Amino acid sequence: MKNLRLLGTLIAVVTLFAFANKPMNGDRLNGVWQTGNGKAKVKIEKIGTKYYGKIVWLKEPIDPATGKAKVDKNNPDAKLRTVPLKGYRVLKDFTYKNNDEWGDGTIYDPENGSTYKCVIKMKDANTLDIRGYIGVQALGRTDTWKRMKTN
Amino acid sequence: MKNIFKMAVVALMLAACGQKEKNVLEINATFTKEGPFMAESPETFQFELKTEIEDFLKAKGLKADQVSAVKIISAELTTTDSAKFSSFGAATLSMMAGGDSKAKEIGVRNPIKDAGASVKMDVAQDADMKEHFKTKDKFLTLDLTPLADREKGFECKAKLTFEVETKK
Repeated sequence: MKNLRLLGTLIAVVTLFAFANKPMNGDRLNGVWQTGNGKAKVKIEKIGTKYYGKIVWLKEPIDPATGKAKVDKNNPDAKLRTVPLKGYRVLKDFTYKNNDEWGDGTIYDPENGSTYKCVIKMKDANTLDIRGYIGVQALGRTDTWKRMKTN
Repeated sequence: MKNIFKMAVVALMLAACGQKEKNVLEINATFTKEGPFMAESPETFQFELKTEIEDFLKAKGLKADQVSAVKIISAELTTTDSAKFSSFGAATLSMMAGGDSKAKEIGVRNPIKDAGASVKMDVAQDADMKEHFKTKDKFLTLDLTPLADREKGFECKAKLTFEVETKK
């Protein structure tokens, strides 16, 4: 009986330490991340209960066709085709699931105006696997993003 | 003849069931953010929307489950800042909410810098915010891109008009 009590205490202590080292909330996702091709930096922040990622830097901010800052020219709504790409939320509506994973969100590809379902997996504190897919996760593509150091 | 009369009655009943009513909902929001702002780094201003559509509808003798669509019909920004909107390149208005609703851009003004102290935004024609208004946890965001470094913060007010379509 005494041993059982000791075992119970031990499990409680180990569990406490495990959770103390790994915060239960998903706020570790917040920060500035560079996309795999290095063409953009995306700032992820929490608004309300969900996480959103907006473009804050573009390697090529000017559209060669117009000579002006790039806009969301492929937006399905014609009225929104002047929305600037810098500041555009390409990641939307993510909620923290568990095990370093955020889901229920979408990723937008401004190159073609398509929106895909998306899951985010944090491989380590500075690396994200962003998987965009159609229908089921198996039919998708993963991009690896790196955290940018902020002052 | 009798059958034609019956068919006409049924058609009238169906038409009555499908009747829709449009109500105008006005929302005033204030967007404030402390500086400093960095040039070319988009700043997000947030406003938590406390408007409950149930209260709006109740005053008109309607219920929330009668709502078939909520669409934005106008958005106007005003500022009392001495520099007006000249410090910013563009403005984008979005709406986001908890639950299953999806964040949506609902208005844009690009460029905004020559707009003066009051500016009308181009609004999304197709965006339906019905699901957003069903949720308690909802936000409006205004993204402004500063053209130059700016020490002090910025404040502007938004007057938004939504069309709430209800069915009988």
